[in-house]
Amino acid sequence: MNPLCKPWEHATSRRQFLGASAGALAFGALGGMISPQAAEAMRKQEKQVLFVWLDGGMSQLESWDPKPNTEFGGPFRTIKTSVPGTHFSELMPQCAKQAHRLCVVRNIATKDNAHSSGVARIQRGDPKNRGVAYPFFGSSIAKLMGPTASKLPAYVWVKPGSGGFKAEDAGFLGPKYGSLAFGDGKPPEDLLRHASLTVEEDEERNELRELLNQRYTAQRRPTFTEASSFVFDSARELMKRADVFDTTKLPAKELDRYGRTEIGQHMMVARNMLEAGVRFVKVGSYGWDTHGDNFNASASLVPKFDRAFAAIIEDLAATGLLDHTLVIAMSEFGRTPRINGHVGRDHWPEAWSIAMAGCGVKAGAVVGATNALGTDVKDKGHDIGAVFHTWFKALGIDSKKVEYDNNSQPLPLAHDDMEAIKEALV
Amino acid sequence: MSDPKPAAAFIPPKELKAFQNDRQLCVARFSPCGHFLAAGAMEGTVRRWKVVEKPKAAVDVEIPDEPKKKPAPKNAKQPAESPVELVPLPHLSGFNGWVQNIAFHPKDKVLYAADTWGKLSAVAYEADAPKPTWENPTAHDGWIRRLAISADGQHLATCGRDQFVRIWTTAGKLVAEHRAEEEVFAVAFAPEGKVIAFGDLKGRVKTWDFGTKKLVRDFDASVLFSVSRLQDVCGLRVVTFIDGGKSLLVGGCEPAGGGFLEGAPVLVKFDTATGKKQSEWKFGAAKDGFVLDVAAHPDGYLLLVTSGQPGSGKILFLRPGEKEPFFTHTGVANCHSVTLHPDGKRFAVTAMSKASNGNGRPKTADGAYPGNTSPVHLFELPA
Repeated sequence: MNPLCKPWEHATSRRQFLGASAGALAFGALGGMISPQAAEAMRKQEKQVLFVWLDGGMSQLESWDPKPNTEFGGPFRTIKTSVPGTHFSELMPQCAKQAHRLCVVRNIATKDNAHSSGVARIQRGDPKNRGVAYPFFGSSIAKLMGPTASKLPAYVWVKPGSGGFKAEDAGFLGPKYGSLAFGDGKPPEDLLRHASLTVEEDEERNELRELLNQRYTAQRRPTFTEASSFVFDSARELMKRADVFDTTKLPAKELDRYGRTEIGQHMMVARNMLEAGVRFVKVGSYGWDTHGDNFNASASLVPKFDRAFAAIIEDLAATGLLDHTLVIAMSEFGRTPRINGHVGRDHWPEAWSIAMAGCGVKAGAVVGATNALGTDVKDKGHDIGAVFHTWFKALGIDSKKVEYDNNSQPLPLAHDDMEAIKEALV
Repeated sequence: MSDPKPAAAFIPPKELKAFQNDRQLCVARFSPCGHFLAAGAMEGTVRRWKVVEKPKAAVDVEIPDEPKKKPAPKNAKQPAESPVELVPLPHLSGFNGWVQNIAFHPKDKVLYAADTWGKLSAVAYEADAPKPTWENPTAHDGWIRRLAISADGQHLATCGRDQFVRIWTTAGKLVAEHRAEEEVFAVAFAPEGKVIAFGDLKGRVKTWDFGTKKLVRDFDASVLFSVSRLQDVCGLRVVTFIDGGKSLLVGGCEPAGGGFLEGAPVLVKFDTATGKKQSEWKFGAAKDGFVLDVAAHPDGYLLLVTSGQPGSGKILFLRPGEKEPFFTHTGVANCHSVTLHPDGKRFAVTAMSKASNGNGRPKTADGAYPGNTSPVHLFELPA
């Protein structure tokens, strides 16, 4: 019997553990398999990532970096947060209550103002032109850290629309490190064992599949076959945890706390996946490209993000997972201070914000600033390369020393002229 | 029955002048006396102008805030001099966020203004440096989206993001309130002054008798609402009564999607007594956006303005009994409001600068980052 417990068992125990009166029960439930010290050691080892991607570009002025009563400030008020002196837009009342757990970087200054180049550039970290497609951050982590002891897929993507395996995320790392995408936050329809099959029959089928795979692999380059085997094996592990997708049995109060919205439901699935032990969970949300009617759009969109994001931060903190989970919320750029004729804001990579929390980052910090009108960063801004160094460092990966091995070609993890944002790190 | 005057005989309005501003403007209105124009600004002020008729033997009127113009090229066609000038007066300040709505009292020299932080206030607008006669900084919790005044000057109606519709005396006392199902985007008084119409996020329009505090009727303008991905897209922007209150107009956009917010400008006419839809007009394609304001001319036609993707905008003249506008002007970008002068001979449109959009930082020679502005276009109607 494997003496190590699974991460989801930790999650269960942690949740109970944090309720003071239930702490003893939690370890009792594990049957004495691990000591609190061992559990703590494992917590430290199993670093995880939640990456919330607001596709199209959330306005920094209607969220993390409001400039009320200025030329470009828009119609909204600001509100106090749990960090004295820090204010968010009034559209983020729930995140305001979690500000002491967040690290907001307000002086992000990137280069691309188009979606086509911006999305890839931001999610790949924009190292110098190396002549190869760099991996998305999720693929990097899948490669560098692998699955947790749960053996669940290392990099999953909960997204609106279609699902499937997104090999292109992995760049030169190879398709094995792509993302396993769950469209509309649902498992693949054929994830579960068909009712007509017994467990034994299913096992026999899998043994046959393995045998055929081995024969197939023997005649081909492994890179072509290992990805599909990997995905299949990951999916088999996930079959055991199909419950992570089921949010219907949660109490109404919990559903309300996350918001009965697409992003709310997807964030609950993400929470379940992190608790189950998925290494890297990306939650995608579309429709943030508010070139028209930005302020009414923000009044609709931002509170939905606010509710879901604050709820997952609160839950990760309550279960202790936040201590070893790096949380990131961002877009490919911010939005222009100038308000166009359609009362919208256009793309703005010049001075915008990202939010982080958890493992390795400074809680309650506001790093950097923009000028009074929000049209420029004060002092030196941070490009995405610096942000990637920051994330790697937060996860305990020395991105100045560790390198990728691309068929014997050493490649840096992130832009080698840039440094981590020290003020954002613990 | 259609108007006996053939459309071909119609002489289009003439643009007298575009008055430049250094900020973006929301709703503009002429004072009932016709001597003032005021507009709420996207900066927590109300802009004011004195409307000055130039004597025929024109003497230049001093316009202190007007930016200096570059000399016209030698062979350029010189525009005819405007017989009317808008002379800027000191701004009314003390507001926050944007002042999206203003309304003049029909008889008293009082201007009411509502901002996006929830403040409602009354100002004697003729004074050089006027102070509020009253103000309520928490009339709503946040964004007041519309402000209307009853024809008899007894009441104000406001509506907002906090889902409330509120009725006030013009002295600032709360008379009645109603909590709607969603955010409320538009409100208007029926001519008799005891019933209002309001429209919400989802295109639900209702009439409400604020004396009895009872809802009277529902009007289905859900064509002005859609859900696009995560976004509830509200197209409803304006409600107004016409035909002495017999008909109710609801205007806005039929949204085709969020984000960029594409959709066609739409106007729907309802029978006030039954709630039955009588007509629906669509004024263009998906890029054309919203009907943002409507003014009724005493001759029985409507002036409408639209604004959509940056650079697109229309001024439309529509007779409510006809299928198509009898006049469409596309020379003004992003028209946000229209106000008819009380003499019925002129109207003003607040617009937004054409080249106001673009990704990233515009490259100006001096390194400045220019904001957007709203010219006020003054038109003269044919006699």
